[in-house]
Amino acid sequence: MQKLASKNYLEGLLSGDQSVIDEIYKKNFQPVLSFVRKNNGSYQDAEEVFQDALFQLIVRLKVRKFEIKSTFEGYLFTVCKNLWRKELNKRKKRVRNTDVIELVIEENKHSSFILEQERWELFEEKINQLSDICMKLLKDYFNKVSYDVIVEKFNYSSENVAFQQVFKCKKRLAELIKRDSKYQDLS
Amino acid sequence: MDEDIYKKIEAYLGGDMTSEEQKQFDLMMSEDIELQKEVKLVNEINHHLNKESWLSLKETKNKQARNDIEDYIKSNEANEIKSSISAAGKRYKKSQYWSRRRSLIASIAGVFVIVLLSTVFFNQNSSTTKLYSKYYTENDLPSIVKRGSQNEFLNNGITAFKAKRYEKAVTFFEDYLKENSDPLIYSYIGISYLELDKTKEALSSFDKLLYSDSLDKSKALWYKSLIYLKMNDKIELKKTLSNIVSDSTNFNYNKAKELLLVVD
Repeated sequence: MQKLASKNYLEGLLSGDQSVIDEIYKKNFQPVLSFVRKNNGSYQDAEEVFQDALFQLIVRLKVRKFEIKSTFEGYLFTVCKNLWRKELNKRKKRVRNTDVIELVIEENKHSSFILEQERWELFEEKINQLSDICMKLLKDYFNKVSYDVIVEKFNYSSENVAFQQVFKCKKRLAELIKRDSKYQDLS
Repeated sequence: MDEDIYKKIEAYLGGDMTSEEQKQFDLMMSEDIELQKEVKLVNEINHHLNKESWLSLKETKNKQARNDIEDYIKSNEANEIKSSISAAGKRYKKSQYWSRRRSLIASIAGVFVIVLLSTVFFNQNSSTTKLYSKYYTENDLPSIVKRGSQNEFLNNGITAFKAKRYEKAVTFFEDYLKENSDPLIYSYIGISYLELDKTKEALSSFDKLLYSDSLDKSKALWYKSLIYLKMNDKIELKKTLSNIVSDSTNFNYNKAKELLLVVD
């Protein structure tokens, strides 16, 4: 069912079918708007992110031999989150160096993000190949959970052991990524 | 990558090295391409796992893929797709605008009605009477005539009731009930007492209907509410109305909900 729905969506997008694009908007825009608003963005920001994500989806299908592995809705929301994450980082940098005005050509903006999104998907795929403990451990570590909390939660004997575990998991992840031939094109 | 090097890489990326250590590490990297690659990958992993950051790709990377993508974006097909997406965005915004307008108007109207009714209610007696007459209608009374009764007491009772001679009506109805069992008559007696301002008797008459097995017994609750409304007894009024709204099959369920809002 889901596959069928996303196929309809993709065909509708490609042929410019108004009713299909309206339906995509109706079903998917609201969560993106809430997410962007919750993270310091406006309606206009959400609109730009949403439309870029839809457009880039088509570009990927046309040029990058891509297919959606999850659901259409899930894919679209993830890409929107990442687009907004990138935009927020850009804005933070802009605040830091006010005199640097970045000139980005439209095509360039899309091509950069598409390749970055592909790298993001590759890394996600490799994280999912790690053991459950590694996934949880890395998640906690990057959510800035302190070592003493990690020690307790994962039953480690000391902070040093916890550190070594984080190191092992990251090393394993690095190996998985390096071994994938796609990585060379995306880094 | 051994643990020692890894610690150094993390310290280097995290800015936790002294400037001397940093210089040394830079020198090490310039002589070791593998180390450069490790640092790069650890940096990418760190950015990936940190939900607040995003690492941009260098524009010099993967030229071929970039060109393919950008060529397509410049094509007519891509431009048409882009405009149809943006047109859908405008339609969506417009539809949202109107649906928001509609619900705004509806809620303003709702507030207006409540304010109006509250004003009426809280203007005490004279207005309570208005509210009472707004909600009271004889048509709500269960029909007892249509059953073609030939009973003299009953017929006289109804005639008196319709002529607003309530004292007489009560006497006829009570005589009728001495020989007949008909809980619906209690609603006529109740209303008659109410019209005579004998609220106590009116209430007890409706209680008799309420505790009967008549199909119309939930009407008793509605009439009791009207009595409390007329008496301006808010506490009992609310209790009775809440009782009505506890079951949507009760008589005048919607009106009770509406009235409850005004009282609250």
